[in-house]
Amino acid sequence: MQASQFRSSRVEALRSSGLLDRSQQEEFGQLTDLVRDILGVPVAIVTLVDEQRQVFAGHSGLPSPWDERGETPMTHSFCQHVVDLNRPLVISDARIDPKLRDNMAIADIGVVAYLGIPLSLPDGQVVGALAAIDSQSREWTETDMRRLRSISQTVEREMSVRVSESRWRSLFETMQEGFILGHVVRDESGEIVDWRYEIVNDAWYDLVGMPKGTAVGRTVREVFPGIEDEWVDEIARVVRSNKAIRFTRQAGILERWYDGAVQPIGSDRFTVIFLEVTDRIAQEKRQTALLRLGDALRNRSTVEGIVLAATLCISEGLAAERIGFGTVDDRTETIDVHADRCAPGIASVAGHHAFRSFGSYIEDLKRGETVAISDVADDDRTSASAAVFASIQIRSLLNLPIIENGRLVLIVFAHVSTSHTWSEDELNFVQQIGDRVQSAMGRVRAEESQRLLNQELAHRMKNSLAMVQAIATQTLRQARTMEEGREAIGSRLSALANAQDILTRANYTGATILEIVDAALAPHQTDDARIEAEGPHIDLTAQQALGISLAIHELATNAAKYGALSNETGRVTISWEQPGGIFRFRWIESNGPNVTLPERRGFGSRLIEKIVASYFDGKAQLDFDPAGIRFTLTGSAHQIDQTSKA
Amino acid sequence: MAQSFDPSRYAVLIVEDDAIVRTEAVDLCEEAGFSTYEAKNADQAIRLLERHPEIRVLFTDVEMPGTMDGLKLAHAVRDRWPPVTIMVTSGRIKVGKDDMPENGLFFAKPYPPRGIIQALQSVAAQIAN
Repeated sequence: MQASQFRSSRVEALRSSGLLDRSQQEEFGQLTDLVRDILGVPVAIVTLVDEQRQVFAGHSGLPSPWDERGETPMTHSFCQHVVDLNRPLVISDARIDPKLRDNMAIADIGVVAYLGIPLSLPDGQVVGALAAIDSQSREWTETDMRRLRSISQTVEREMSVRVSESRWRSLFETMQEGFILGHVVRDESGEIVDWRYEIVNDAWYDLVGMPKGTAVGRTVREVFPGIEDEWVDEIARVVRSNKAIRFTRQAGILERWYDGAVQPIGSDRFTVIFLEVTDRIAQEKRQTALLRLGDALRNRSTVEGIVLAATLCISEGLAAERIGFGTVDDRTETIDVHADRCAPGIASVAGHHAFRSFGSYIEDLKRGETVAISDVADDDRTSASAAVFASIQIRSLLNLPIIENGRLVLIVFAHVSTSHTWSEDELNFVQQIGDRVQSAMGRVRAEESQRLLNQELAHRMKNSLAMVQAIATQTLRQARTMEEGREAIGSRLSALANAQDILTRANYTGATILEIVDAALAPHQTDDARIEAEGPHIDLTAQQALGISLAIHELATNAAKYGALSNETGRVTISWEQPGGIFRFRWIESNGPNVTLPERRGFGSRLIEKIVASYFDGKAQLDFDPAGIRFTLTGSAHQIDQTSKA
Repeated sequence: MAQSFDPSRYAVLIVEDDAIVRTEAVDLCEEAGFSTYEAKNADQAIRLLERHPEIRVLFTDVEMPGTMDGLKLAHAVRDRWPPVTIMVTSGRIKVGKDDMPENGLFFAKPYPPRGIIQALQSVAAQIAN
């Protein structure tokens, strides 16, 4: 168990060392020649002991066919014992050695005398042996041993160089960065006009998308006809100035971006090490576009402006051939495209289109989902309409829905005439635009409704002031003294204000009659509740609510001065009903002092009879019955048209 | 001629759906010497104009219930009764010049009573001449 574990880690080390590569026999062959000469033996070998075989990393004097094969099976290996023991193996005559006499190397290769020294890798792993072999029995001397050991040290040094070189080569072949070793090409006048590839690594082929082995020996202008001059000029500058530079540049014909460094190495030669950064550059562009969109949206106050900014942002961040937006009618499922930006050779799709002619993806858009289709022919939602898409040069598409109040109102689109897989980055980008547009639209709508609200408020205030003005002027027209006028204006305005409070709570849509009556009576109600009010639930418009409030105020004020509330026993009964849609409101006083006709009828009675009646499209009557004042209002309570002007 | 002129032979038609404001407008117009007719909406106003040729001034609010607002009414009156002087009032912040009929006068609510009376007096002077 111990031995096999030892072997496997040793074999592992050997295999990853690169020493088993057959191309490296040359160097070790010179050293085995040296062993032959110095020790005077017919055969010398450097073996690497693998799992099922031993490989000759160098050999001199091996008989055929072993020299051709370059390896033997373990049945023919003396060296495995050197490796296992990790010490020199000294055999004068293998034919009589109990451990080796059955080894097939004796008969097949003619091994009789054997002197082997273990060989180690720099990290101490024993991987093989250097051996001197004689076909006759031989007593190995101390001198032989010393000389062979000395040469084995040279072998080990050489192995360590090989291992190191192999590591670097493997790094070179497996690294992700592309590598070029090249030299410049000069014209007759000595000007640098091109450069030639001497060495490129595998990554280079991957990064530029060329088949392996197609570059070495050719020039960059041959490999990439039409490539930008800058790719030659820059290398020319590096070679002339002998100074390294870094670059980030697009190879236009490849539509890829590269980031790397050019290093001069003398004699018109240079190295380039680089990475493709197309995705990074695209992502940076998108980030910049999003930042710009953020700035643009802050200054936009219309939906149109917002969508234009979003369209511009998409065109900056996506490589699409047609970009634009359209307003959507979600009931007819149609879109109106007003204008779009098109690449050369791509026709505009401005105009009116029905979504259903292009497949079923409008369902997703209505749900607010971005639709990204890499190939309309392959997508279930569009495959049946591929021909329609082809007629307007669309193979892949991206649609960003803009939703307002739960309805699809706008679409921002990007089209490509070839199939194009939308990357995660691209989709995120579009989603972020969508989010920003939605929030900007929300802001614009909020500002709009704020503005409308302010206008409406100003409008209502002006109308209220007009009403206040009318009440004040009317009151003053009729007032006998300034004192009377001031008192009357003040109390009428406060009656108006009480009614306004109720209307504000009801958002100016109107109020119920009970609310209005209660509020209007509150300042006049006596401690013993001599005013009674009763009636069914009826809705009043804002104007009617104000009218009833003012009427009750006038009646109650008069009752307190001259009527039922001016003595200790009088009562007021207020009632309302609406039989058959006819609204009837009554104020009846009883048990008060005797009623006499007033000398003059002021604004108060005009208000009660004429103005309040007008609000109800009806008639009002004030009877000065000696038993008590009676007020009857008849009309319609709730008008269908309610342009409220509170 | 001027001495025998009696503005009360001519009438102002006041169109205003709020009865309090309308009542005050009626008083103002009568103060200026004119007779008055009152309407709560444009339909009533048109009917009154059809029946009473003595109406020489339309004094109308803009916002009111019904199919026609005060501006539409004003334009209709300008077309059908060209001699009628048009006075428009509104609590709205702005009634654009383009919204007003030709030679129409605009008074923002609440309007100064003196301004209305002066405007009516100059109408009376024009009729007198």
